[in-house]
Amino acid sequence: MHISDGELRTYLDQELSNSELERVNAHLASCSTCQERADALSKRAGTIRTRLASLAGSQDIRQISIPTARARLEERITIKENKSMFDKIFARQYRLAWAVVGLILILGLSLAFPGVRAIANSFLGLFRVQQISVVQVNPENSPEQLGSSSQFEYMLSQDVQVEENGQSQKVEDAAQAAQLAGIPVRLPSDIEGEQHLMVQPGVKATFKIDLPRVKSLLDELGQSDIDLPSSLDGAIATMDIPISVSANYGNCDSPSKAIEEGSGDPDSLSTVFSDCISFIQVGSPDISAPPGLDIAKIGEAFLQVMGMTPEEAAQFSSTVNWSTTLVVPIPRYGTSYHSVIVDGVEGTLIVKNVEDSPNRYVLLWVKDGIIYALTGPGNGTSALEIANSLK
Amino acid sequence: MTSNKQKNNFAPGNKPAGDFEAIFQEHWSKIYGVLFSLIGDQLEAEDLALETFWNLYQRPPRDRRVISGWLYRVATNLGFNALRSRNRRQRYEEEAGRLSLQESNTDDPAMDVERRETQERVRQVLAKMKPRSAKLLHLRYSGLSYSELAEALQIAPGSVGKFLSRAEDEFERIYRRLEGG
Repeated sequence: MHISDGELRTYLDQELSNSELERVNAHLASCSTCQERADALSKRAGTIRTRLASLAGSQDIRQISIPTARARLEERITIKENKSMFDKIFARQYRLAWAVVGLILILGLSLAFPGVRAIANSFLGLFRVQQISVVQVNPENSPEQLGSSSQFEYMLSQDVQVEENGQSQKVEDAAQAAQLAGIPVRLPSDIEGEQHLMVQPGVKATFKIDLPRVKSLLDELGQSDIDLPSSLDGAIATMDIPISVSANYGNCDSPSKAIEEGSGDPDSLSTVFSDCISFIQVGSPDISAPPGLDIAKIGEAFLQVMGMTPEEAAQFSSTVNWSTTLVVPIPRYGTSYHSVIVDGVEGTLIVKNVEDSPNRYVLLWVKDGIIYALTGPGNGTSALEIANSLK
Repeated sequence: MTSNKQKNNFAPGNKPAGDFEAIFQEHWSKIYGVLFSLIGDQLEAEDLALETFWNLYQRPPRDRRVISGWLYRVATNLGFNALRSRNRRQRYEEEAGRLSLQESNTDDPAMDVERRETQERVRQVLAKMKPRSAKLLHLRYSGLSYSELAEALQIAPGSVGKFLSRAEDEFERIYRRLEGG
């Protein structure tokens, strides 16, 4: 058998292993065809080497000294950090807010924010989702405080267990997705871009209440007035989030992946997602909590953890039925929202709107016990058309 | 849940500063050299090299053993993006009749015309090639070994020869076409 071009090329670069080298040498000695091919490849490589060498004769390379380069990098780091201070603060809020949406809707994103997820898991209380209520919060007030809370970290590591039942699975069509997810799966017909359907596993979170720890955490968060009955100690709260179905259209790769693979423009990472439209559907999470909890109070605590002042939380809490409402906190700055009629029911259109970054929308609604979320670029003008084309 | 920990970056308080400094000292010249030969413009190459290290500072790979390959990968991605967008821009300008002849980006007026033409053609060919082939070729002729190439381009070490041979095929084909045209 003759030697392949690849192997010959490796041979010419002297990159073969010893045993391969022996074999190739032996073959070349007896095969004039391969010898000729090797000569031709070698000649071609020589030509190309000369051509590419024209790019960089070493005498051409003029460069600044390493210390100068290092100083310029420092300058760049400082400039970028200052310039994007607002962006960064917002980005953090933005990620947090989406994480909250994600945790409740199982966008998978929530895995990056186990803390937030655990809080929602443990504080949302017993409910079935019948409606969604959006509330604006100032997440700047919350995550750092949580991040520095040793009580919180300890609670997460000791008392909260999150299990995923299975793995994400790619599926071909709505019927297959419906079969796996156990819900009727609907897909938009009025949408462009290649469709990628995934079935995400269900998640079960179990929270074993360690009352002294919860109390000291609530103290840290300024919620010491929540009255928790002593019977709660050792009780178990669980949240079952059913299997969900996501449909992606367009380029939905993660930015860091895109940069390494060369498809992203690192100056504007948001453009990586610019044409990504995502549609998620999931049944209502099932939450069981021990009796004796004042759900509204716990809801207030949840909102404060998300960055509301105690007064704002109390005011909002009095307007909401915590046992039927999925409360979605969004950042106060850079987002707006309003009610829309979608898919025959009332839904909420949230738009992220900051300078220097393309707008994105999230459209949320609940119909027949299924939570729907549609997210994509722009102000959501096309979102209603997409949502209303569900079949 | 400190976000810094998860980000795994070199920002203050995360990693010993010496770590990043050593990497910078070791790799700056090589990365700059690869970008300069690709771009042919000192300021632009410097900008892209700084951008490469800024990326390292912000989002370093988890596995510190693959830093070299990672840097080459990010640098060539940035470099080829720049090269291709420059090519698009030039094509547009040519079509618009504003640019009759290719202006070289080199800042050395003494460089002889023939060499400059070759340089410009090589860059055009690289910009037209399949991205992976172009990167492979450029990095190979910048002196990377097969194992370094495999790491930088995330291909199997045993496949480097095969891809290189195909890349050279593609290069010559496009080069001749441009030469003829």
